[in-house]
Amino acid sequence: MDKLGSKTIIGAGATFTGKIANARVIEVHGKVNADLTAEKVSIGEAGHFNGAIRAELVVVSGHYEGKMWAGSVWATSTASISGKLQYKTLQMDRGAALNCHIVHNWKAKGGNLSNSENSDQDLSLLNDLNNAKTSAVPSSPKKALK
Amino acid sequence: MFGKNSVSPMAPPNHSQINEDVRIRGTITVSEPLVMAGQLEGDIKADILHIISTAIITGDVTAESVTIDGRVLGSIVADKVYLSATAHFEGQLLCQGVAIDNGAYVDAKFTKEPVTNG
Repeated sequence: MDKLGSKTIIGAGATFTGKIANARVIEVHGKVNADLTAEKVSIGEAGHFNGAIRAELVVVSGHYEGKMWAGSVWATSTASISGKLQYKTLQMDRGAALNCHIVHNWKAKGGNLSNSENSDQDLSLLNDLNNAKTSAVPSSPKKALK
Repeated sequence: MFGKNSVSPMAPPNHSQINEDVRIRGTITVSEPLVMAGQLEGDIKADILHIISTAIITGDVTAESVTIDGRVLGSIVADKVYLSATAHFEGQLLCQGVAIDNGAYVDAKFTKEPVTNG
């Protein structure tokens, strides 16, 4: 009992409100109303998450509403996402419901992605190119969608 | 990165656990067993609660039964409370029954209460 696995689990019968920081791997099966910083987040089929997420990898099978800054996002077939999604790589399974503002961002603006393998210089160049092509990329993620 | 095997099938577990690296500010309400190992500033309502030795809780704890190995600063309302030798508890305790191991640090006001947990 004293030895926990490496992950944090919010079980199906749990309701959580507040702010979660430094969760390495977290699984959400209950209702969470929170701002979350983590490395890997999974929202289970029964899970409801409301709030901001900053993470390297987010797997959504349940309901998500809020602003997400993620390295990789995987929306499985049962996912429903609304709000805003800022990602580097995105996978969406057949059946996933995305009702949200989706921004592909090479540079983790406003996000807190700890391990970006590429150097910032290369990224800013790419970002500039991106911005030149599509002016729709908002300069500040905080401004949009509020 | 998105390999099917990288994430375990999402069978909802029948308990919750908060890992030791996690810092939380807020409220947790759980209708099932909860194992707490992280730091919490806020309140917990749980059924069966285990506060393990790495946990630091500043706030109020309400539960049916509580096992404490870690630190709790605040009030505890519970039916049964067990403070192990590594426990550190400062505050107020309202409970039906309490057991304290030799070595536990306790600086608290005790009140025997009928079962009044949420």
